[in-house]
Amino acid sequence: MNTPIRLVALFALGAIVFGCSNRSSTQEATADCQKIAKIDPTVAGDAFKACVACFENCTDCQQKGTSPPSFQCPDDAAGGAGGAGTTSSTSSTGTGK
Amino acid sequence: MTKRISSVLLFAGIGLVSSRAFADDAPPTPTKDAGGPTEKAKLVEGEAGKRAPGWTPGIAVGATFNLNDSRNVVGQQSGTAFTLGAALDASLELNQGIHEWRNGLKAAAGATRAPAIGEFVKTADGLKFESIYLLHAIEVFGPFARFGLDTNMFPSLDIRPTAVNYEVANRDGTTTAYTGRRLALTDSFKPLTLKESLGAFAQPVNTDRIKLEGRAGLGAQETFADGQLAVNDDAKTADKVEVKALNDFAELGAEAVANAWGTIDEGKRVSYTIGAGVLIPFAHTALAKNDNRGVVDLMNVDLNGGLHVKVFDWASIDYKLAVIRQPLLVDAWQVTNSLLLTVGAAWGSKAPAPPEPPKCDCEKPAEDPAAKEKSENPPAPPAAPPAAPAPAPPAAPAPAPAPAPAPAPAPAPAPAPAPKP
Repeated sequence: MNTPIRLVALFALGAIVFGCSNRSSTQEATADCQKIAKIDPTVAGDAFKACVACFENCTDCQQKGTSPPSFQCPDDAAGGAGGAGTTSSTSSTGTGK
Repeated sequence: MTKRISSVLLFAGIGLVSSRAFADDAPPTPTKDAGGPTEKAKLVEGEAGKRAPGWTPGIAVGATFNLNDSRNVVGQQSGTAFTLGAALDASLELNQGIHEWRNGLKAAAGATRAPAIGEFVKTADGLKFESIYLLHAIEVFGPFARFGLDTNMFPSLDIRPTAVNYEVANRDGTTTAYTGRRLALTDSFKPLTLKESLGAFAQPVNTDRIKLEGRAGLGAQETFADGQLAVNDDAKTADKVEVKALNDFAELGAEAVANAWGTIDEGKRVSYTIGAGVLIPFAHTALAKNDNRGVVDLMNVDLNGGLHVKVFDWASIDYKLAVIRQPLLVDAWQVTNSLLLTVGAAWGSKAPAPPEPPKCDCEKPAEDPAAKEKSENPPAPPAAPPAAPAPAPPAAPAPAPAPAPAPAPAPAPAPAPAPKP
């Protein structure tokens, strides 16, 4: 009797694991950063890579008003423990968590 | 209960966390002749290898889970690692006279989260469906028709710990460069491959130990992969990762398939499958202008093997090997090896056969009172009386939960949960 429920739970878990991610793919992140670069030409080179790295970690990445440009996920801005903090042009690894 | 807890603890290191025993309700009963081909044509041993008449459903589900957390442990990266997985294996077979219709559905998914990457990475994903109809013009030979579907259920990404330079070769000959660590490769249910076959089959061997089936005829494949990407990395270029954009394609040609499957022990706790198939495409979607590959170069090859060991009624170890070559999709051998400990349940034809009740000498006149008393209360009379009057110990294989070798008044204790009477 519990088996259908278990099956549903398993596939729901799979959907959560595979389908519900608040991260962008490299292509999506690149497209987002290209839009930003059109508005702010300083987002180029390493800053562009930092932008992509940030969007790969969160879909709602925000540009900080720094020079050179840097980017930050809202969770990191809120001081979330374990966050990687700002993804700047001088540190483009952006490991996220 | 203590035994079960001990077993769980034993497997905890490789991901076993919970269990529940499921067993088939009743042992499979010997089947009568389906009214089809004559017995003379059957290369079977007793009743065991015959096609069971009517519908035969079966389903097995399983899941894996692994959790490892390390904090400041010398020699280990701090963090939490998860491995999750689930699998479904269902079949529905119909045998009626000269008609045999087999349907199979297999799905598997798995993901791993490691501290180095910090997110779930898909490690297993597959959905396969096959429906095949065989007309046993004679028991071991006849025409067949087959339809198959093969795809992935979930989207896939090429996730790496650090950013790399991707070079995507587009279908129009241009390239697109990306720098990142999460390149999207395929969407859900892409690539989707449909397979159709029509021809003749032969089943020269049909026993529980080995069922051998060969098929040959016309085969067609249609693969829907337009806009999907596949990593096609060239080891010579260390500074970039080559990625190929995929196309839809179709092909028609001569197909030959050989499959063998069966069980190794009487209890059906150890089963295997092995198969090989080739499709030599005589007609196919047009190749690119600079693509000069011939028929042999475009030959599809599908090799597969598997070993299933039912450790307990609720746990099994599965090894699967798949070697696939689809040159029109990716000109490389796609190899998958997987060894999986699965906790799950099985019903119907997927469930292992329960241990046989101990044989009794019911027809033999009981001479001594103790033996007579035993024979008056047999634990479960067999469906057919044994031909041999002597109560010789049955030759049970070692791995099966063997019944007691000597006639006993009660069912012998078995390591697996005892079947319902």
